[in-house]
Amino acid sequence: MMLTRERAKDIFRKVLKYSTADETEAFITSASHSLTRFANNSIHQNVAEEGMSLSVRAVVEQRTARASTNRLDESSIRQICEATLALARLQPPNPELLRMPGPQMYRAVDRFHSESAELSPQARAETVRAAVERAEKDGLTAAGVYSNGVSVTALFNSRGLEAFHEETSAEFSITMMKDGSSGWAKKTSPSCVELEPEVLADRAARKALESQQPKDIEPGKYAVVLEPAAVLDLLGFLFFDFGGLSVYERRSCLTDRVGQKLFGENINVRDDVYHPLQAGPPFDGEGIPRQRVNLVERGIVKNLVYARATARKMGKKPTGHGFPLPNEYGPDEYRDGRRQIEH
Amino acid sequence: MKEYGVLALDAATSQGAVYADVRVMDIRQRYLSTKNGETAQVRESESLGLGVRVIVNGAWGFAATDDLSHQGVLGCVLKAIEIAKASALVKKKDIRLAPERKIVDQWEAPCQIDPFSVPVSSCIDLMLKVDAELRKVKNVTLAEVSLDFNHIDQLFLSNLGSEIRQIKTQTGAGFVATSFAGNEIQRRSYPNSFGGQYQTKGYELVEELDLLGNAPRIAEEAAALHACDQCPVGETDVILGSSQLGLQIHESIGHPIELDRVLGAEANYAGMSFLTLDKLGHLKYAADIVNVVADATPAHGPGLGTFAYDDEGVPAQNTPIIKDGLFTGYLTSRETAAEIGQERSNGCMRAEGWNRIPLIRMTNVSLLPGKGRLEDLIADTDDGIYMETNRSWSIDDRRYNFQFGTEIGWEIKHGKRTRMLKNPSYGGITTEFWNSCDAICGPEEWTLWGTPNCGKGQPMQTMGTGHGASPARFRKVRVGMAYSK
Repeated sequence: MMLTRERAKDIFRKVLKYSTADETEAFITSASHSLTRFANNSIHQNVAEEGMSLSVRAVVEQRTARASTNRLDESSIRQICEATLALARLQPPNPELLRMPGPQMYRAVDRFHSESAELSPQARAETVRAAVERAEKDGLTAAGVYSNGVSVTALFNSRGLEAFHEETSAEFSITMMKDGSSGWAKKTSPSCVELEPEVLADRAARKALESQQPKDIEPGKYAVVLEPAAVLDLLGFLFFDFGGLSVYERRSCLTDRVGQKLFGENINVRDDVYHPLQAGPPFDGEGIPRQRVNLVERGIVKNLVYARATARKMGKKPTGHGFPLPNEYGPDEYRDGRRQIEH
Repeated sequence: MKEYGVLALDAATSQGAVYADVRVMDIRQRYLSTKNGETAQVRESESLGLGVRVIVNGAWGFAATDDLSHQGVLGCVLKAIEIAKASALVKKKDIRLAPERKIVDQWEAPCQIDPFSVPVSSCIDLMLKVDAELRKVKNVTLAEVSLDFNHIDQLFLSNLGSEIRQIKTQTGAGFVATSFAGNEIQRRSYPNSFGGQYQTKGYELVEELDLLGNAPRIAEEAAALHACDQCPVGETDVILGSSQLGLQIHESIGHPIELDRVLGAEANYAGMSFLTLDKLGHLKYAADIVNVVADATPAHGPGLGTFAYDDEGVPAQNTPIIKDGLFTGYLTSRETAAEIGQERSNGCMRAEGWNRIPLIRMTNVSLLPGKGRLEDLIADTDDGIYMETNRSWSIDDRRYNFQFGTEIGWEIKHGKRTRMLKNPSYGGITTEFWNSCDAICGPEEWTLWGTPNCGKGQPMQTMGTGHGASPARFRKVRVGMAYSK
């Protein structure tokens, strides 16, 4: 059973009933995911899971801690509130700990598609069968996944903040192989209708067939053309470094380099949770609205992303990229995965 | 736990499953960390749920839930059955499982000090003391300390009649000193990188590691690295420290011996293996002095890969993987053992949690010790580099061509450690590298390391694995290529 806004509110009412902290925050999630996996032209693993989670953060006298459970009966809610408060009391006070934010306004994002929520095991199997038939037509071996799911995220705090987001997800990825060559293709979307698995299967098959009998070349410098996924693999290593806290703590390769031209003029990188291809809620781990941030403009490192506490340390405004507190990482830059690279 | 499990098992059988198993897991975690004089994370979590595996119409289905009401459990079972029937629409043959016997047993891993009984305030006090020692050293810009405690209580039931309860406590501890100077970041970790050392034991691990006693040395090394010479580029003899060798084993032996990878099950994600079936019993994997085992039995030590039974109810075993240099064994499951005609699984199926299917995972894949101390091995080396503590790793998807970087190295000249080196790296081809091993230190230098976060599977799951190793020497290895121009 998926979490509704009303059920989430009811859980938070119970949290408030049992929490005696100065401030209380509850992060409530539910998820239902299914995945059909195939290899050697057969379905070999086929799974589904569902679960709910309540994570409570307590603040008492500038001390904070978090405890989580997936038991949502009233007795367990009381226990988790008591556990969180007890953990918080055991620490030294943090004078830099900010008050929890109050109510926020969020831009609406529509990422729920019923076809993804309702996609059945049989439907996934039929799609896989078609992909396998495409493989066998050219004597190829196929491996891959077809998955779908629903996620709900709700965040409340005792200062009146209330955030709620639900979305669906779907993914089809496939590797086609033949004697020493292979091809791969993948797509993700909130709507399984947009995946076009048959197109992906055909693309992977063509790559496998066209890359047979590759020749050796000498190690050296060459002009290469990278597919979008390969570009992301390369650039993705940098994303941790765009977090404000990593620059502040001097563990980022961008330390002392913000404002410098580090990329080609044709490179622009934007963090945009509102892009139609993106996933995730429009708020961060503290409930701050996510901002669209231009990280790189015409090759110049322009902006970083900031959680609230880091923004305050660095004299900036928060951009809505914080992890749930407490954490030592600062902004949730990399794990958001919400970058666009344009050129 | 048993009530939920029996309900699920009975339902699966009545719905037509020819094989069914259920795992009910109750997992508790406490994670503590400090950074630059402040508490960073203080968090606890608990999670209770069950997962059901079935074979229906000759194919697998799996479903998991944390809704342990009567309705929730039955719904989960019906989902697993529906999924198995869907799997059967795209199969080449029916699933066969190597035989296994019914087992009714319970086991608890030894634990002297329950880490959850140690006051959080005491833990934080220790971490802040370590932190203070690290930051006494000029140019240490970031000090991070962490403690990680896990308690796992699992009940396994199967329609063979098996009922197995296992309880494990696992502890992890470590720290990192990072130094930023100029435009360079150097760091040193103790006792290992990426979270420290992890074992299946209690808080006694933290006491054994003497974090506070090692902090000054590690901090000084982090700061000193900036002024050191870069690791030279070329070919030389390399001695790998115990923890780095543990990771070398993990990446270039542990992964390629996973039989499901060999058979193509991970082709779309974690990769395949160069150890094709024709190589079993024939490939000269390593030098004659190299012996590697996959040993999940408690007698091997308190590794992250230690248990009494795997997650298919198969007893823990000690399997020779490389014997006198010859490749002799894979990591198997009941299904893959049957696939290659072996009589029995060697018990390597492990699941991250109640919501994941078991996959073939490393247990404790360890290099058996040789003879002698590290200082004697260095004294025996005329020209080489000693490298310690992993910093980066890269290996192809068949586990054949690799390149690793370590945090620190020392040049060896005429049997003595000389200058400290920064950014050491080395690389090679798996079988060539292991065949170049000509000396392995003895049991007094052997440590059973824990890798807490090995990733595999779709959906992805992480698993703790153990790797025992003593320092060892490898001849004529390519070094320094990571920074070569």
